[in-house]
Amino acid sequence: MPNISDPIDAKVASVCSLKPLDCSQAAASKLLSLDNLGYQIDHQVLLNHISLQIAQHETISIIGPNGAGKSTLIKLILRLIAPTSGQIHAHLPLQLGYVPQRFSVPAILPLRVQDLLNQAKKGRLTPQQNAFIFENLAINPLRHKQLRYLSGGETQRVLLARALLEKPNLLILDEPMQGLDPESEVWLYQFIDELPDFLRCAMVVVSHDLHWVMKGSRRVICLNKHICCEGQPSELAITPEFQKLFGHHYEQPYVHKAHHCEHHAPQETL
Amino acid sequence: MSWLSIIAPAWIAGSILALLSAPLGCLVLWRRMAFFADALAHGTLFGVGLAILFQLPIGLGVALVSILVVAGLVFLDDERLPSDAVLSVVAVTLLCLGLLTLTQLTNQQANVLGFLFGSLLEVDWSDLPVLAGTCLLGIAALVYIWQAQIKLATYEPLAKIQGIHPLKQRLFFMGILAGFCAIALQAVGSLLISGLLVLPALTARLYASAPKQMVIFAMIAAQVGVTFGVWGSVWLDIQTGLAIVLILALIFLAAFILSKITLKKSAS
Repeated sequence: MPNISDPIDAKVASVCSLKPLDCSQAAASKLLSLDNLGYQIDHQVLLNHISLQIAQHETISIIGPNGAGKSTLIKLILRLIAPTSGQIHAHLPLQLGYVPQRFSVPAILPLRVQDLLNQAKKGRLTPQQNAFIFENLAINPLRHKQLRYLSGGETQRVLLARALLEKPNLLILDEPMQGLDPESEVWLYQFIDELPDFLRCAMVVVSHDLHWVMKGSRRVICLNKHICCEGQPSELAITPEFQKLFGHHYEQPYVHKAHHCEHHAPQETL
Repeated sequence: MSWLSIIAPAWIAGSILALLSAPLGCLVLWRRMAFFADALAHGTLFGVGLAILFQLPIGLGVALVSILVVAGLVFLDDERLPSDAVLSVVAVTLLCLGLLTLTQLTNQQANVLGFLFGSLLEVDWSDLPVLAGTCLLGIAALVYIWQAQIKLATYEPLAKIQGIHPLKQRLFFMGILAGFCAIALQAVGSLLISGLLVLPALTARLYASAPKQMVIFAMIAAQVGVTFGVWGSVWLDIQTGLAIVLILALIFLAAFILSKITLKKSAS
């Protein structure tokens, strides 16, 4: 079993030499455009020069080291914070869905699963469609349980159901696999891959999980305060080095190394 | 049976107040604003003092001080200082200012105990319609913001995505709280308003498994507290507010011990 040692790291650098996505390809129904977005607090730059187009029904994965600004980017897309430079432009009315990384309800609030689901905007789906979501996410046996007593996997399913009930056209998943047992992971991949037509939407997934990134998305973006590289996972998969390294080890998390961004001279780093 | 005509309006007034204090108290706990409620409650004392001093209506005095409290908290925002400590400073300063105004600057020394611990037995039949109307308004306002407040208490980002404005909601909630403090002043007095708000809700939490259930249990606890408190204050000749809050504290303690016992029983 290959371990993450130096010879592998050197070759992982080549993995990051993804070809930039051809812009003309994204002409198909744009949903959201991020135009030279930047965010800084007290002169500390968290993100800059983020330019990105998200098309309808497109799945994008965002990977990157800690401190790369992935959470900040998510908050900007969700309009929870405003960019300090640049613009976000929505080409269609956005119905946002968000499954956060960390979620806990204050213990003083005895919220049940049912109560959380009732907080979702109503009327976006038919009762049959709602029932479909509850069936396939196995929500019904959980309905009267207290949210605080749910396991990680159960919480994730409930949060996903709550997001889907509002029929989002842009769904943001922040580290959806974190804290899940392998069985729940498999189950979650499958569910997201096989979303029915009435739930199809653009998806932005932040993940350290290469398995998901390679399998689940059409586009991968490597973020490190700026967009290091982006491209198609298929372009990664065909390189013989990649296959030799990750062939049957997609489970190993993506570990970003400084030299992955070697295309920038050290002085240019922020 | 003339004492019944004294107790009846007081008991009705207390019951009406309990109807509003139960859901409001639940929200105060869910929104983690118990210390703020306490600061506002202490502020009412100062508000009353200022109103008497400048011959303004009491409501206006309380409203002014409430705005002062909110403005003061915004001003005193510093990440190095924990918010509960800052609120504690504000509360105790307002208490001093209130007592100062009432005892030194006006002729209200005799009434100070009443302002501090309530004078519910002085409520008249003629006071009840206004009280009922105000409480009804308060309940209507709570119903209006209820969903938004619960969503903010659950998880703020998801609430913001739905278009809820955290700041607007917080200010509106503070307004309702200030209004409640103004009307509860007579019932339980400035020092005990937070007891009336928080104790029934805390008791309810021990047995509730859903938000609405918690509100209903809090209403029951508040009602029992008011009833026994009013009768107890007449019977034992103590300040009504003291009696009500002591009963509520006893109810909470009993409920807590009971819940531990039943927990042990179900575990074994």
